Amino acid sequence: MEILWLLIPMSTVLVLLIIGVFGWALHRGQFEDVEFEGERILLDDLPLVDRDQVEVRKPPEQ
Amino acid sequence: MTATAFAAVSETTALPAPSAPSLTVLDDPVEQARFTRWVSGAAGERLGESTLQLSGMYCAACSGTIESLLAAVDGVSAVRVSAAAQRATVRWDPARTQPSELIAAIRRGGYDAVPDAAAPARELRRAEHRTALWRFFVASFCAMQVMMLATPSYVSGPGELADDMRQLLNWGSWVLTLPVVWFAAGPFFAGAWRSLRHGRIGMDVPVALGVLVTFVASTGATFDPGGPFGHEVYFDSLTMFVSFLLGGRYLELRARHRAAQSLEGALAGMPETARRLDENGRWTEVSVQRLRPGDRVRVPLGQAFPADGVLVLGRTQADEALLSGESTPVDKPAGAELVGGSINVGAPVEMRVERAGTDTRFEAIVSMMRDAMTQRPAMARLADRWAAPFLWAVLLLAAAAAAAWSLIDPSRALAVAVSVLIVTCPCALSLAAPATLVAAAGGLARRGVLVQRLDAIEMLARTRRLFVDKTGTLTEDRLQLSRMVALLDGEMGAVDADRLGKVAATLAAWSSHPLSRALAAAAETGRSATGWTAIEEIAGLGLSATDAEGIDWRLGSAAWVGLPPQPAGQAAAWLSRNGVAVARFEFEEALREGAAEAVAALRALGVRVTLLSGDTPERAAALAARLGLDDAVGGATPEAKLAAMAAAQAEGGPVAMVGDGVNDAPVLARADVSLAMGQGALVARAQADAVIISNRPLDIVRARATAAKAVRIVHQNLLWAAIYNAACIPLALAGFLPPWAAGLGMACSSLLVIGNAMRAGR
Repeated sequence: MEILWLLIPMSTVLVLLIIGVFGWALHRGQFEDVEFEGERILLDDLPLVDRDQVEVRKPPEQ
Repeated sequence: MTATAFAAVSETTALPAPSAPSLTVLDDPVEQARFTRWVSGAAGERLGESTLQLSGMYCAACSGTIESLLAAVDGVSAVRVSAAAQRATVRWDPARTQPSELIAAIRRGGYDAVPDAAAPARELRRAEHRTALWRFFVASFCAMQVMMLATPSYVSGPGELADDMRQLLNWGSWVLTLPVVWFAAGPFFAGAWRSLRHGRIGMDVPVALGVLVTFVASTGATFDPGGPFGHEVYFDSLTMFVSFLLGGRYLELRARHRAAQSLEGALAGMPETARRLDENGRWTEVSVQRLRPGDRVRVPLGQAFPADGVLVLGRTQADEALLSGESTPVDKPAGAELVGGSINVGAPVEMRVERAGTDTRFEAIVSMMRDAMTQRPAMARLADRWAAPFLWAVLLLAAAAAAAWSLIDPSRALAVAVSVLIVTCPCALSLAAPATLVAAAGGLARRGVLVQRLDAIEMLARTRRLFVDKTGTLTEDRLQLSRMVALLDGEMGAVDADRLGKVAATLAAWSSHPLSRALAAAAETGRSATGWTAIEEIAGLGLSATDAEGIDWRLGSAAWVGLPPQPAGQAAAWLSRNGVAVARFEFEEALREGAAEAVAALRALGVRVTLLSGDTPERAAALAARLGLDDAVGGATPEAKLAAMAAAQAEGGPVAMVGDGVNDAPVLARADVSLAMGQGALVARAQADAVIISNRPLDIVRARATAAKAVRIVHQNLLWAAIYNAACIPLALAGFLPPWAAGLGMACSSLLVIGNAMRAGR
């Protein structure tokens, strides 16, 4: 049962990390317009999810 | 329409269409401030960020189309369209474009947009919602994990769990409880501190005390198991308690936001504009916020007067129902005082502005309403009324337990006193009211009554005194024909009454006077039914015309048809044929559907219903008699209405008010419970505790029934909380309170309370 001495502190820290991730998502506004994400697929001109996506959307070069 | 006044005004330019102010008004900086905030761009330049409310979107893909329409406008640097919220946020460069260009671009694409003035309020709500959800998540997620760490000590037999392992689990629970106490439970501590500073004891005080004592005692037990706090920890009960409470508060917040959201549509819309004579002698469209005393303004038919002032050209009637509650239009000859906000129903006229903006009578009433709001007698909430006796009882019990145990076994005295405080933690007590009220508000919203302030539900259930406004609340703001009296004297006996009614109706169709409209509506015939020629209308008197057979007819006031002046008090019109009066038409106010039933039902419930009207005392009394009201106060100004409300409140007991107009807004603000009609003025709706969207008086009765049921359920919940405490306190007093008993009792009582509360919405 010695493993519990490692696992319990680890799980505690993990819980705090998960809370942090949720807080980041919440404060980025991911829970405010929940319907929109489902409708995104219907849009012709996709609004970007984030800034880094600009590169991905460039047409492939021949 | 008054022919003379119209000719005088319309000689220079054509009148603008009343409903379509030009877009250029949006480029006025004063107007822009309503829906734009200024940000600095990447290169430090000044950019405007405007929010627009879109319409005409029928699917999610439309948002992409609108985005490309806006992005194509020169000077637009960023566009974000939300399909679900039907809103666009646009960032634009004031040097290259203007908001009018943006809206014009959207219109060219086949959609429409109006500036969204409610954006700051929505931003505030969004921040509030985020914080509430964040706190709730932290509390409930930690509670789940603490529950897991607490499970071993619940399921293990005596001696199965080693002491060092128990220490480790307690330590883990303690770490996970920290964010709950320090962050999630913050609102309770803040609320408790606020009410203590004001010398009151609200429900937050016992909650904060319970949280604090439980946390301190459990912390002591964790780090010093042999110390004065004993070795029992209650982290699981504590975190669960906080997360239940925050869940209740979150639901409460959502209900409040939903109510606010459904009202703010009225705030958006095109700016109010006025046609003003500028220094170059031209008529230009400006925002009403730009009007200054001395300006000359042209007011088209059907529009509201943009400011207080004096009529300088033309003659008209003004519908001042919004301000005075008076349903009959008031005649306004040249030189008459005009009240901003009243509607021009007679003819296009010109006015000189005397008071504009915040100096107008309209604004004076609004500020009177704000004052009345602060004078509203404070009524303790149901749960708050229980808070103080509850707190004292708990403290006394804990002190008594400590005293008794210091004689029996001094080493356990502190532990027993703490466990009494823990077991009485007012979870069920503090959940009882909010959960029930949220459920009741949800149920009412489905039936067309929007509750904006949840406490109003409690107050409504206790109301024994109700003031109602007349016009717009019990009656619709239009008249209807009650009867026709044929004045059959002399040779007119040959003309039958039916034909006279038809003649009057077809003639009345030519006028926009309220009595004419009522007359025309009663017969429902087209205006071409009789070949009228030489139609003329003199404002304040009546119509005259010649029919196909060459007979002269006149329709209007008694003086117009050559009769002596008639007693005032009843709305009536006369018809004359070749100069001889042949018929009299009497009118009454059209009652709202179900008004009589609603009054009867309220009286059956023991509510005293008083009519409070700005209309003449005779008319108020007549309506009160027609509906069977207890009493009526007529001719009341907003000040007099406030005084009547204050007098009723001095007699004791909560007083409710139902109204719709601006003139009711101060009384609504002062009343213990205020209900506004959905068709009412914006200020009245925005400040009322509840809005009756359906406009049905019977919904007042329904709201009161739901409120009564909700209060009954709150009482049941409080009773259950009392039983639970009564059962657990002896255990704690005896020094035998295992954590599992505390946790189980708390969870069961909370679930029972929430389950019972759900019934209130059905």
